[in-house]
Amino acid sequence: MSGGGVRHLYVHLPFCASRCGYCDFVTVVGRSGQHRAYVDALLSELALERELLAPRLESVFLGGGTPTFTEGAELARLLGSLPAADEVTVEANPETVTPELARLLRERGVNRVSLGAQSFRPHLLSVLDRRAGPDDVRSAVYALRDARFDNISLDLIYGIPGQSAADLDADLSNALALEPEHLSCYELEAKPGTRFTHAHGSELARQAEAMESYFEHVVARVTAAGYRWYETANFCRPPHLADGRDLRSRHNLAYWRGRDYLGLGIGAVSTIDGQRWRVTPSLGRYLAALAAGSRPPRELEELPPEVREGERVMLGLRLDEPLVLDGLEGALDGEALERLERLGLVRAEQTAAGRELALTERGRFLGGGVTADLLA
Amino acid sequence: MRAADSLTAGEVGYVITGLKDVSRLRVGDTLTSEEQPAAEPLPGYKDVKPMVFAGLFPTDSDDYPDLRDALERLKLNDAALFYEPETSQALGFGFRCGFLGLLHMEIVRERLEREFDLDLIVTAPNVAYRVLTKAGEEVEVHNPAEMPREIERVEEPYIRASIIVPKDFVGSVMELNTERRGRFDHMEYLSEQRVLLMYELPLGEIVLDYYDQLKSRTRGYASFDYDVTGFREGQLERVDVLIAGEPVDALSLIVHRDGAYARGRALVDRLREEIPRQFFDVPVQAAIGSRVIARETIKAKRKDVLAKCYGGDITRKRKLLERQKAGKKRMKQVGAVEVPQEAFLAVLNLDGGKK
Repeated sequence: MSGGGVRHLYVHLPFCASRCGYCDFVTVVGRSGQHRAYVDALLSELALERELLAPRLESVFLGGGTPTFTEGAELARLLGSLPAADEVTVEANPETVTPELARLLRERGVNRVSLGAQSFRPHLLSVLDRRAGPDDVRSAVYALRDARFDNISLDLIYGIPGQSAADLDADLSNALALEPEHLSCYELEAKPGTRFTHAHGSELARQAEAMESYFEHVVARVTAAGYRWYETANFCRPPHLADGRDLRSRHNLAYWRGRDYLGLGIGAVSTIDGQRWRVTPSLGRYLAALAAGSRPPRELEELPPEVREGERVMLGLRLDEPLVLDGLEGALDGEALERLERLGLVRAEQTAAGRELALTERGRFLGGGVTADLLA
Repeated sequence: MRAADSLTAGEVGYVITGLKDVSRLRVGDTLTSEEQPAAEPLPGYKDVKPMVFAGLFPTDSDDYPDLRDALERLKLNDAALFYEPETSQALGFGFRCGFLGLLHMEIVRERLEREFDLDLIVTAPNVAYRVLTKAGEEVEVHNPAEMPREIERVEEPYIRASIIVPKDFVGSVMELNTERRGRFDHMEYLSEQRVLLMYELPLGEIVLDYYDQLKSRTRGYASFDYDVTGFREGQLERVDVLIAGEPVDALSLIVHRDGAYARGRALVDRLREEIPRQFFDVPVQAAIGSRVIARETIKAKRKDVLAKCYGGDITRKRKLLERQKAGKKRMKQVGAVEVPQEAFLAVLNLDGGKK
């Protein structure tokens, strides 16, 4: 299936200075003594899985945790040992981005940085337990620009407890003023079991109605600034505003287009040839296994064809490009499709490429429910 | 047990017959001999007619044959139970069942759920109505959705209620009975503390939540008993509910003209809460004939997306979507609107919702 090897690699760097209340990723706070051992383990794991990878990768993505919290020397060693790729992205927290770090990333082949700005309002940043302030975001962007980064993405979160419509507007203005190539805007998810949900869950439920229009507002503001709304939560400058470059995240596009990917590191997920597995989230077990030269424990999930087809629909409809239905018809409920077409939420068309399905503009705001309806 | 030639008063026994169809037997039938048949059945036994009706529907429509079998078997030792197949566009296939009264209804429902392990939706109970149509035809109506539109006259069953309460609660009971169109008959002090109140009430006013109300307004002290006394004419109206313009048979009700607006309003408010928002605006209306008496709009959803989805959480997002899908499957489709089953029960406790 992966035709000549997997072309997308994810590397998880779990270390963080502190844990943010809303986060449910696999993270490890502090433990600077273990950064070296962890990078050693990652490189051993890479060696063990190397044969799965294609000779030339399209994308490498370092996510976290806070990848840029990893000690500079270790991060540099890791970057120097990873296979080359057309797009190499590193996630960074603004307060970690110094001019030195920016140079280090650039010198080691990183060509895209995704900055977790989240908000520019101090009171909202503190609700999120974020350490950076609004000025940290700005100086991080300037440092990256000085290091000649020409592909910067900012993450924003909206729907934060206490966030007014004016707060959201200010966040969008501040983010757009920095002229990032790419923007991700996520609605805050109060995931069950997080400290955050415990503290703010009821407040969020109360605000739900007032915040209902925020998503529309985000899309309206960002597209009015010329950005392309290419995925449910992602925007980028279109080619004519970017010297002809396609600034969509190549790595994430691979997920949404149902491509295979390899994940390394604790908690990392891979999907290859109809199998999905997740590496143990336990740092101790991960380090011990790889120190002994064996694969870390993993949780395996078989993806039968009908599940894969359903996922292709779920992921593909997040994009602004139509989904080619070739082989996916069985995953769809034909009656629901007709009903949703009548409601003006989806559009099915016969093109040279085959039968294609896309959400309409309004359909994209309701993409989750529409997809649930569409799936057989 | 031993064989005997005869049974006399106070004795219990059994007879083996060649009868094939047990439904032809009723409690109170007279047994006689072929050689010397009795001319008349023994006096004093009346054929009891069901007065309270409700629709019984399986929660899962695949269980319909099980419900049918269960009712057949229940009927074997409960001759008073009456049932006939009913089809509701909203709830699918089920049965309209007739009961002697509220307790009987409660017992039948409990037995079906416990002894036959069925999961049921029971519609709001209603009473039997005698209707004279404009065409001069007399019909008995057991289901609000079948109430003819062109009516000359409607009669509804009345009861004689005896309520015993501590004297401090007499005022609250009188208030409740007045709300329920009760007519005060008389009252007696059974002791210094306890009072017997006699009322005439339309049965239709007590089938829903009267007993709960009586108990809650008397801190549980009231006791209540009733006999059906006969039919009387009433100013009754059929209130229909329309969801996105489609009439929903299972939600129709018959109410007294004076209470029609309040009921219609309460029902529409309740439905607005129970029906989740859809991809489009959904008007919910209560109407008498073609006259709309209450209206609410369930506003269309403006967003329904999974905020973010990357390689690490595709499985989790897929499962969320599968759950969302399963939730939708449990809903009943009324036109293009997905209505949860709970909404059909909204009509059961309209007053309860206001408490």
